[in-house]
Amino acid sequence: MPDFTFYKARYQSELTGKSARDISELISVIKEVDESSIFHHIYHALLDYHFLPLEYPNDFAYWIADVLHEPALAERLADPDLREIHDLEALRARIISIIENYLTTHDVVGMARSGQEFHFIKCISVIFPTRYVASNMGEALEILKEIDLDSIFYYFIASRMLGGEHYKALSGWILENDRHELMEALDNLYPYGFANLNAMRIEIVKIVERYFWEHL
Amino acid sequence: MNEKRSVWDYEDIVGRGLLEDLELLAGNISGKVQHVNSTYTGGGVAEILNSLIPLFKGLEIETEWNIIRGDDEFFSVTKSFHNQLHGRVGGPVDVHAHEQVSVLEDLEEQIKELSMKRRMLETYLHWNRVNAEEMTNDGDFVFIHDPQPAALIHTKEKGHWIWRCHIDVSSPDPLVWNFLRDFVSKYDASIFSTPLFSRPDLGIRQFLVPPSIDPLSDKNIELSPGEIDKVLDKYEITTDKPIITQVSRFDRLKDLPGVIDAYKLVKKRIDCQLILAGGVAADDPEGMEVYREVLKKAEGEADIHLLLGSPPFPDIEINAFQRASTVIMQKSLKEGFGLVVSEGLWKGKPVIGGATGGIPLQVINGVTGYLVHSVEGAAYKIANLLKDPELARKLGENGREHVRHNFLITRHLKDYLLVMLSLENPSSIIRL
Repeated sequence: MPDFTFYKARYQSELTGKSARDISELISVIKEVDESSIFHHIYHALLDYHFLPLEYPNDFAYWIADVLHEPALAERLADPDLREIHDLEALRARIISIIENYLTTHDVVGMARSGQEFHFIKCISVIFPTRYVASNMGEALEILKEIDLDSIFYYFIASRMLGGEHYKALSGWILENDRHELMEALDNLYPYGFANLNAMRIEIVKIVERYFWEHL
Repeated sequence: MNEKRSVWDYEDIVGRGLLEDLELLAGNISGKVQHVNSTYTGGGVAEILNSLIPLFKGLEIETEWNIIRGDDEFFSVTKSFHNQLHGRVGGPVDVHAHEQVSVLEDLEEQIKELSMKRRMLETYLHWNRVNAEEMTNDGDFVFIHDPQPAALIHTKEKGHWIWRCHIDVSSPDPLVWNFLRDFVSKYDASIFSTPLFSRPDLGIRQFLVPPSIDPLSDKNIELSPGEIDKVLDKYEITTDKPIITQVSRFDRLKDLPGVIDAYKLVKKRIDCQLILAGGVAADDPEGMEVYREVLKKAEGEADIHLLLGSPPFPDIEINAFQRASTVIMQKSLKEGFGLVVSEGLWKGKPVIGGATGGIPLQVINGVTGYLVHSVEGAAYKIANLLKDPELARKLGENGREHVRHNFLITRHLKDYLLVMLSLENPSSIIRL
C-alpha cells in the first residue's frame, strides 16, 4: 500500500460586495454569486467553534429567522437534505428551490434594517499537505483520531463539494485494498446532521473501527 | 524593531496545528512585507503591529515597519478625518445622494466650511508627499494602515498594496470619504474588520480580517495574585468588595455617566465598587471636559475609583484592573471594534457591553456576557453576575474560549498570510 498524505485547508473570507435586504434580493444574489460564497454560507458554521449546538446550521437559515422573522422557511433551509448533493451548483439549486417553493404559498415581507443586511462573503481555500502520513489503514485510523478538525472538515465536506480531488484520493487509497464496504459507509456519512466537527470525527472513527472489527 | 518572536511561544495557548500551518503558509511567501502606519506607540493599530511584526520575522519573512511623520496640524487633520469617517450615528450614508444635499442653510457658512475642509485636504496631501519622498516603499506586500498614509499609493512601483482599514467607514462624511476613496480605490485590495465596517463603492477586493489581542503582551499576560495586589495597592483599591471595571478613554461615546448610573442602581442592593480607568488623548480637548463631568458625577461615591491615566497607564496596570474585576463593562453608545472587550473575556471575565460596533461579535449574549441597551439593563445584568458567581465564572470561561478561537494574534497572522497568498494567486482554490 503506498503512503497516504493527509491534506487540510485554511479559508480566508472575502466580501463579494453583494448584499441583500429582503428575500427577493437574497434569492437573486444566491442565483448569481460565486459558488465559493454558497459554500461559505452553508458550511462555515461547522468549522467555527461553538459553545452550544446551533439553532440553524447555516447563514441563510439564521438570517431568515433572525432578521426576516420567517422561522418556518429557516427550518426548511436548516435541513435541506444534502445527501444526494455533491457539488456546489446542485447545492445552489437546492437552496433556490426550497426558497421558491416556500414563496409560492407564503408572503415573506420582512426587511433588514440598516446594519442587518445579509453580506455575501466568499471564501478562498488554501489547500496544503499536513505532516500526517499513513502507510496502512491502522495508521490512518490513528491519524483520524488526532488530526486537526480542519482536516476532517476538508476531506469529508470541503473536498467533496469543491471538486473532490483529495476525497477521491482517499477513496482510491482505501479501495486499493478492496475495502468497498468501508468506503461506501464513509460515502454515506451525512455531515449536516452533526452538532460539531468533533462529533463527526467520532462517527468517522466508529465507522472505520466497526469495519476493522467485522473484517479483520 | 528588529526582534523576532517564535510562533511556538503560543503553543500552550493555541496548540500545534495552527502553528504548523503558520510555518507552512509562511514558507510559501516570498518577498518583503512592509507595514506603514502613523505611530509606533499608542492605539490599537500600533499595539497589534508591535506583536505582529516580530512574529512575521520569526517566520523568516523579511518585514519592515515604517511610520509616517507630520506636524501637529497634519495629525489634527487626520484625527478630524478619523472622526468624520468613523460611522456617524444613524446608519450608512449614500455618498452619491448625499453630495447633492446641503446641510447648512447659510451659504457663507457653507463656503467657510468648504474652505476649511480644502485646507485640511491640502495639509493631508502635503504631508503624504513629504513622506512619499522620504520613505522607500519597495515591499512586495505593502500594508498601509488607516487613512493617515493612504495617499502613499501614488508612490507604488511594485508589489501588492493593501489598505488595512481598522475603522468603521460604513457611514462616513461624504466629502472626506470621496476624497479618500480616490486613493483607496487604487490599491490592489483592502482589509476590513467586519462587513459592517466596509463600503460597497471601493471597486477593489475586500478581505475580512478581524483584529486581535496578544495573549503574551503585558496587557494580557497571566499575572500572579501578588502582581495584581501590588497594582491595586498603588491605587488604594481593596478587594473586599466585588469590582466592576470599565477601561476606556474619557469620551462621550463610551457612556461613562451611564456606567456610573448602572453602578449606583446596583450599589443600592449589592455592596460593590467601580473602577473607571482611562486616558485622555493629547489632541482631544473634549476628553478633559468629559473627565471633569464624570468626576462631578462620581462625587461623594467612595467606592468609585476614577483613574485618569496621564501619562497612560502601563499595560500591566490595565491588565491588573481587569483581572481583579468580577465584571467588565464596555457600555459604549458607539464603538469601533472595541478590542478591550476581548481583553476582558481573555481574562475569563464576563463582559457587559453596548450592542454596537464590534462588541456583539465578541459578547455573545448570554454566552460570554450580555448585550445591553440601557442603564437599567446594564444594572440588572451586573446584579445577576454579582449574585451568581458560578454564572459569572461560566460566561467568563466561555469568553476566554471565544477569544482563543477568534481574536488572538496567531489567527490574525494566519489571515494576513492567506491574504498575501491570495494576492499572489487570485483563484478561489489555491494548492500549495
